[in-house]
Amino acid sequence: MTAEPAPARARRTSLALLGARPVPAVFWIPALAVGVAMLLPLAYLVVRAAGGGEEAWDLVLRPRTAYVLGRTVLLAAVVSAASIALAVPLAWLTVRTDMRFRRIWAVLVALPLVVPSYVGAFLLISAFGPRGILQQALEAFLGIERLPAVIYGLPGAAFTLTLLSYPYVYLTVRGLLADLDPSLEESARSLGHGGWSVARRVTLPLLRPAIAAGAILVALYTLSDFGAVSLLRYETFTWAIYQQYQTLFDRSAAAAMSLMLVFIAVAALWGESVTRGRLRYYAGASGSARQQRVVRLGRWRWAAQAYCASVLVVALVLPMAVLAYWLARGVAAGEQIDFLWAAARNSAYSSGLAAAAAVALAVPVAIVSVRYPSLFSRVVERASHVGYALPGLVVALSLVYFASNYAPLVYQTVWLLVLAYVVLHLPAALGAARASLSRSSPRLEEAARGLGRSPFNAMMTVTVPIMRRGVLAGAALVFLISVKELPATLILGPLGFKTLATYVWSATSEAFFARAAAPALALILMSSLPMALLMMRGERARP
Amino acid sequence: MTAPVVELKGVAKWYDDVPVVDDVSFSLGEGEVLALLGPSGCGKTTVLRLIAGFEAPDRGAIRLRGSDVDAGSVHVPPERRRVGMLFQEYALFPHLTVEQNVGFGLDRLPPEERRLKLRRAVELVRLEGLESRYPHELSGGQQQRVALARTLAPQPVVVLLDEPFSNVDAGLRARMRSEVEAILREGRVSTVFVTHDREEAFATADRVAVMHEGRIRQIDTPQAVYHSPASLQVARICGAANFIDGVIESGWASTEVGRLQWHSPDEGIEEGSRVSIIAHPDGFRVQYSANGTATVESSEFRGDETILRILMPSGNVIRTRHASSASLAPGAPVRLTPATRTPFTAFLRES
Repeated sequence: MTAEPAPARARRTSLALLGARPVPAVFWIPALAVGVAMLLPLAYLVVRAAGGGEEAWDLVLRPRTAYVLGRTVLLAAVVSAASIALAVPLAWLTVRTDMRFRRIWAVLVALPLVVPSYVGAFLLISAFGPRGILQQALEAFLGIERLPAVIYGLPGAAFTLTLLSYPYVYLTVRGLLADLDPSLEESARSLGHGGWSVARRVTLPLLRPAIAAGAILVALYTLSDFGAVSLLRYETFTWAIYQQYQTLFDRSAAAAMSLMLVFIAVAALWGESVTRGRLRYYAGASGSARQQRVVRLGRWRWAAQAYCASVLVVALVLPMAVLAYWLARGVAAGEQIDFLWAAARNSAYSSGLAAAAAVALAVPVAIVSVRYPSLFSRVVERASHVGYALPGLVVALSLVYFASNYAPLVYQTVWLLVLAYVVLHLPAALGAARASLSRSSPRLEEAARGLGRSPFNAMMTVTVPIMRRGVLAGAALVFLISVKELPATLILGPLGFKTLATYVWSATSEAFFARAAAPALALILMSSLPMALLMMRGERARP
Repeated sequence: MTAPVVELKGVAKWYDDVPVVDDVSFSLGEGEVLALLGPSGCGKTTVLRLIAGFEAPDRGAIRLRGSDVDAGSVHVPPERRRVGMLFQEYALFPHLTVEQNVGFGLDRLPPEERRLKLRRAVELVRLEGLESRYPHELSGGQQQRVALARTLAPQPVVVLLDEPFSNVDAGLRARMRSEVEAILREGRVSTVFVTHDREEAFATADRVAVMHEGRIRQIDTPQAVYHSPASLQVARICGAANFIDGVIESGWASTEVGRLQWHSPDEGIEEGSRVSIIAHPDGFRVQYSANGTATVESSEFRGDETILRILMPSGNVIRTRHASSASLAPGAPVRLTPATRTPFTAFLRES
């Protein structure tokens, strides 16, 4: 056996196309296939937009486009900023203080993530909109027949999206906050800085990468959101593209606008990496994870409880109460719920297939990128993250164009929908798989190979069992976000293939609130299970 | 006489009903360097954290330059103690440059004074030219010097070092230690440092406090704790290698090595008492002797010295150290004689 002089060699191989060590075919062939498949939608958009001719570009380059673009960016900025303001205190309270029921709060305040944006918007409208709960109550007592429509437009959209997406910031900040080396803050105190000064000058700057990573997820979520903005009538790029597609059937213009949306998303991602600049955050060299000090809140305890409780009430309890109200009204009115079973089965089926496929594809990509670093593996890995920047609507449109022209066999089948889910949600599965793989030593597989196992056999008997926990977490995450997904499901679902998401959508867009309640509740329950499992796992793993 | 820089009186700290620090008292003079030596888990780091104010004692009092910082209900927070703490992992702020790190404790000063002190601290640790680097762009030694400069810049009352060299590999260790020591001595900085490495404690400190299970078992000069340990435990922590059984007979300790001169901190050793004699590896001379009852069991050549393991008739093994030119082959019969006239330390053996 040849011993490798590790560090010097590693640096060189990462620049070579195929790396120093031969990548077994069982890994690189699937990895390459995944990379190509992930780039397909993007490539097709480019081709399509390029072939659109002047007419399409004239449509895209009108002043109106700039106006919509501005509104989109404004919404993303407002939602990201509000999410940071809401989530950072929550993360700090649930990680660092002696607040009562800290661990329970930690799980509860992450749960609003399971509420789909169109459900959140529908509940807001059905409570405060025209003919909503509030108006009906006021009419009965005071005879008021119209309410000012403050919930529409920017305020309502920003409010709804913030309450559903702040958990992205909360979860990333929480992770870093728990791992922060306590001696940094102690040093600052020894050097004469009090609590607030330490928070402002040490803790917050150290949390910046996590805050930025969470905020970028919120921004991308907002950019790609379709349900809430259309229900709340705030015209953004995604909505404009959908209308273009629905009303004009002008596919080149929609493709060109989709590309612009992708550019915004990529610009946001690029901006986030640039803010880091020369700073690099190195973990404490020794890794001696000393227990962090618990901050005693004293008489602030009640304020802390009240803060967590009010966030939870507004983001989860009130919406659930409104949902329960409409459910009761629906049952009283004799709404049919027999469709529910088939819709739930369709949701579980398509999302389950997507979760399984995403995980199966993520494993070879993770192995190639972690164990065989090279230019090839980096390109494949980057390609697999395309789904981050591509809004669901864009992926769905490009797959529709592609399949209707070149792959009529899968067009109008559930497989095309599953493919869309995989393209969109592979990054989540890949992140989890990568994280669990890079924590285990490559020597383990080498030991298996030394004992006479083939690469594939070593992977199945050693690597995959090691990655199991991470892979399961990835599968749960993919399932959870696929169940909620709306635009791709609307566009790619075969005729007659109704899921919970499409039922909620068709009922709410026509203001049949009572009819939407039952599928919305089923949807929330279905995505709460994997979410609760994920959160409890995270809590246990923490010392 | 001025008040001691640091003074601890009967300080105790419990975690979940387990005493981690128990009745610790000592005082530190101006410019003095004190080492807290003990095995891991003996409470030495907790003593530092108590002085720095990161923990509050459950009993006892801590004074800095004569004023109470911990006493009864008084607990002065760390940021108002003017205590400089140098952490094991240096704890440099990764988001700040060298200059911003070093200046972190100076920001209440007027700009002119701040600039002066900053420059002096940077010069003291010879970091000129690196001011705009970030910590990850520095070598390990440079990182430590930045941490030291940051600690010293606000001119703290006392500097606390928590295992400052334990992250450094053996080759660099001695050099970094003497560098840091020179800087601290030059500034006559009062220092308390924690270590589990007795050589580090002996080489660097004016006095050594030997800790075991939360208590200070002995506090004295390095020579005294090494040659006249107060208990068997202290002897073990300070590197005593050999424990030889003996009986007191007409004023001498009679052992299988021969009749030995002794002294003892234990009261009540009398004629006929059974004792343990402690001996360091350099305590005996070993000579070839055809009718010697002891034999060389093994010989370990280490370059600058040779360690012999001598098998005694009782089956006891004594470790001895010699110049590396000594050549005694395993199996050779030998005789042991005391290397100096210094009496050995004896302790009463309990039954």
